[in-house]
Amino acid sequence: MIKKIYLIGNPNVGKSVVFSRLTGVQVISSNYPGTTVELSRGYLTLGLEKIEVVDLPGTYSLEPTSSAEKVAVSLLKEYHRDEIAVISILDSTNLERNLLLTLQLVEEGFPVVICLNMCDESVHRGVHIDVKKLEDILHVPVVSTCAVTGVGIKQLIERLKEAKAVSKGKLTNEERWKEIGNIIQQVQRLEHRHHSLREVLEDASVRPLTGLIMAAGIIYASFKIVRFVGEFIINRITDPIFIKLYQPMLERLTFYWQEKGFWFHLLIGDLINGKIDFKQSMGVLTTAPLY
Amino acid sequence: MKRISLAQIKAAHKGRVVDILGSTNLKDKLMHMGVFKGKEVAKLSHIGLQGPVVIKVGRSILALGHGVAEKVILEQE
Repeated sequence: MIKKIYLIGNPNVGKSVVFSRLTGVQVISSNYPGTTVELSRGYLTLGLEKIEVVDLPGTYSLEPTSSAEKVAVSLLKEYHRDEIAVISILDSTNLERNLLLTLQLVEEGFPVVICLNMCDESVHRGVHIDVKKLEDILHVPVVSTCAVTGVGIKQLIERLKEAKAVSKGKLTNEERWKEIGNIIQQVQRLEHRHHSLREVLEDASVRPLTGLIMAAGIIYASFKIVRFVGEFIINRITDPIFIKLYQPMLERLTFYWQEKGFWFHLLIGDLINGKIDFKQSMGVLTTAPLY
Repeated sequence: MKRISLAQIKAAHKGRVVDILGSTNLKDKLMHMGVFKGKEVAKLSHIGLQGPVVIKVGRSILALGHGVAEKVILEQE
């Protein structure tokens, strides 16, 4: 019986987004690695049961090298293996680096479901992954998802029940990397893609010379936009209202206002040559709206 | 064949890692990110004045501190 679900994966693969999708709890997700430093917990309703879902900080391996990783690893050992399910989240654009942790999880005997996240991005970059084959090699369920848009999340939940421990011999790190090389060769097909416009821009924006030019361009463009919008509002909206509606209204008011007392002076101000001068009358309704 | 550290190698050049001069801790850390003996890495760029070194391993891009880059010894053809 599954009591707890852990989400584990390398930094910056989208664990928190998957967590939000599974539980409906909004956690802050941003495009920087290492955003999750605390644990987030939420609940997933599976059938009639409520299962606790824990979002662990990103870790590269089960042999912890930092304190955040230590927390992640120690939590995994809190419950008995039969009572938990581990969702190992991988970045499909970078399968090679991500597989180390997954292999360790499988070797350790955790019931694992593999979630290949960012499937939209990998297609975009010309990375094709044979999900079925990866499943056959590792003997654990593999689901391709795109957490940002929610593709595959339903399937991921359905396949959680299939998570079971597979016994496998332990390897050393060198052997693991060799195995990863083999797996990659079998399941991943790279399609050569020309650099997309986005990639070219991305590269250009971080070089000092082109970056500065782009920054100047963006600042200039925002200045232009603000000016354009501002002038549009003045010329097309506020000025016509002022001249066609507001000014005649005030003139009529002055004309019919017989007793020019305190309120007249406060609202309209002084008349210059018997007329309202919006710059010099100094009334609340005359000079104030001008500015 | 020439032995050269990651800090010294020129940008846009490739090499094979032959040694990592560092503690087991550093070796482990690099290992978890895919840098280990026998792996081919390419240097992408280098910020001057002992700034970080950007390398490409497989499909991932990593930034190493200058001190770490000095400890990664490559063999270049």
